[in-house]
Amino acid sequence: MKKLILTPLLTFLLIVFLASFTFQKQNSDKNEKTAGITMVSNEFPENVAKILKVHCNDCHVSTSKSDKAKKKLSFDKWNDLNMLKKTGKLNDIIEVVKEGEMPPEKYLNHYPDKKLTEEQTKTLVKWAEETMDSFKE
Amino acid sequence: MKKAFRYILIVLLVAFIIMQFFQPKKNLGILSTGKDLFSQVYVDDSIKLLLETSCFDCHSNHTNYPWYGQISPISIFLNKHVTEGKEKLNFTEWQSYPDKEKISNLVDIYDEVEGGDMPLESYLKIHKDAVLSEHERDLIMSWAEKEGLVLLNKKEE
Ligand code: HEC
Ligand code: HEC
Repeated sequence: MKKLILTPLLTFLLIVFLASFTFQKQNSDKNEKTAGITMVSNEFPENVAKILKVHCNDCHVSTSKSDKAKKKLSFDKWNDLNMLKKTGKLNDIIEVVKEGEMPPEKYLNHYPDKKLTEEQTKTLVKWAEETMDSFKE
Repeated sequence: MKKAFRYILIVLLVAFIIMQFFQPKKNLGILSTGKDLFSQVYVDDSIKLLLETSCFDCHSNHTNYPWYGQISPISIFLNKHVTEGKEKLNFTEWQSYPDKEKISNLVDIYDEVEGGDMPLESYLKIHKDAVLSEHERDLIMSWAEKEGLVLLNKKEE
C-alpha cells in the first residue's frame, strides 16, 4: 500500500527536479570563464581603457573563451568598427552599465571586486556619450 | 514492476493535463499602432515581408501561434522567447525608441543576421519559411545599414 503512494510521489519529484535542471541550464553561460588577457585598442582614453581592462576584458576581447561576449563586443577590435557600429555599441554599453547588467551578476558572485563603482559607471557613460556626439560634428 | 510503470505513466499524464491550465498570456496585440516600424518610415515591401515572416513572432506585439504552440510546456518556452525578444527589440514600439537606440538596434540586427544568430535556431527547426537565404540576409543587412546611416547623419533630433 505504501508503494501506491510512494511511486507517484517519487515520479512527481523526479519531474520537478528534471524540469528545474533544464531551466538552470538555459540560464547559465558556460563560457564565462576568465580569459585573463587584457588587451584594449589604443583608441580609448587612459581612464576608460583602465576600466575596460579590469572589468570587461575577461570576456570582451577576441581571445576570450566566451563566444557570445566577444561576438557582441571585442574591445581589442574596436578600431575596426565604423562610426555606425561604434554608435550602436556605445549605446549598448551605456544601457548595460547603467542598468548594472554588465559585468554579469554570475561573474560578480565569483569576483565581487569586478563590480563597477558609481564613479566608474559615470566615466564610461560620459565617455560613450561624448564619443557618440563627436560623430555628429 | 509493471504496476510501477503504470503509475509513472498516470502521474505523467495527470501532470501534463494539469499543466494545460497554466498557460502564459498570449501575445496577440495590434500591429499597426502608429508607433510601429512601418507606420512612419518607408520600408521596402521585400524587407517588410522578410521581417514579418522571420522576426515578428518574437519581436512584435503579435505572434502567430501554431496549434502546438498552445500546448504546455511548449507554450511556456515560446512565451519566454517572446517576452525576452520583445524586451530587446519590439518592431511594434519602434518609433518610441530614441534615435540612438534605433541605431543600436539596427546595428544589432545587422550583426545578429550576419552571424546567423537570428532567427533563433530552435525556431527555424519548426518554421522553415522563416529561414533566411544568403540573399535575404544581405537584403536585411543592407537595409539595416542604410537606415542606420540615415539616422546617424541626421543632424539634430
Ligand atoms: C563574465 C564575462 C563578462 C564580463 C566581465 C563582461 N561582459 Fe559584457 N557580455 C557578456 C556576455 C556573455 C554577453 C552576451 C549576453 C547575451 O548575449 O545575452 C555580453 C554582452 C555585452 C553587451 C551587449 C549587450 C546587448 O544587449 O547587446 C555589452 C554592450 C557589454 N556586454 C558590455 C560590457 C561591459 C561594458 C563590460 C565591463 C564593464 C562587460 N560587458 C563585462 C559577458 C561579459
Ligand atoms: C523564436 C523567437 C525569435 C525570432 C523568430 C527572432 N528572434 Fe531575435 N531575439 C529573440 C530572443 C529571445 C532575444 C533575446 C535573447 C538573446 O539575445 O539571445 C532576441 C534578441 C534579438 C536582438 C537583440 C540582440 C542583442 O544583442 O541585444 C536582435 C537585434 C534580434 N533579436 C533580431 C532579430 C531579427 C532581425 C530576427 C528576424 C530575422 C529575429 N530576431 C527573430 C528571439 C527571436
